[in-house]
Amino acid sequence: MPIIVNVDVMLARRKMRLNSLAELVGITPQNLSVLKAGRARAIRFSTLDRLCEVLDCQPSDLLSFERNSDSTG
Amino acid sequence: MQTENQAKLQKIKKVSSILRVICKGLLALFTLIGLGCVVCVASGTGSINYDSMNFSTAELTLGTRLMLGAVTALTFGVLLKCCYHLHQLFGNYSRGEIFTRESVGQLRNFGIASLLWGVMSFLWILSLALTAQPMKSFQAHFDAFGIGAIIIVIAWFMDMAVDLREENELTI
Repeated sequence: MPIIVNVDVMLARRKMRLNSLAELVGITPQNLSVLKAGRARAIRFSTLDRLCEVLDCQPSDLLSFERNSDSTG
Repeated sequence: MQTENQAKLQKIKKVSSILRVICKGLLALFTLIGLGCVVCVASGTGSINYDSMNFSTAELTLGTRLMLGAVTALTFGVLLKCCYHLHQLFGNYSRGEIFTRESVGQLRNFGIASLLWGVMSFLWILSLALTAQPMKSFQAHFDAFGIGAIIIVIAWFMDMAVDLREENELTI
């Protein structure tokens, strides 16, 4: 999927651990791990909202779009 | 609620474990019976019973006996396939893996085995009518076709349900 989740980058910038972020956001560490690993199929606006609030960032800091090398033609 | 769900899951695991053992026993039993039947039919020492009609294999030619032996082997092969997929399915259930793609696959394969059972019924009639008893008429048992088709459709629905569950679970 060309949508890249940069939660790990933001965690490193904010010097936070995955477990503490999960607790502050109100989701399970397992679910946050799924999101971080890029295995999530979708993200709720409410989750994105809380992530941005806790990490003090914009949605664009957490998500980015990378075009696939085979789809560029 | 959590403990209630866990109790239900434990019940599923327990019953599935028992059914798995039964399937394993049936697998062993059908293998032995199958081997015995194939040897008896091919060697001309046994008899075939179909639709309450008994045919002695001793009066048949060697070629006919070998062909009927092959059909017998195929029949038991399909029966073993049915038991094997049920054994695998209950194995998954006994591990608590109920709505998984693996379980759906086993259910689909069981449906396919049921369809094959219907094919075997047709093959038996054909081989008996062509060789052993050309003058008699046989009643076909095609119920397995319907059952197999329904199981395959249910497995297809379950496959889509697994997709939906994954979609739901992977929405963070």
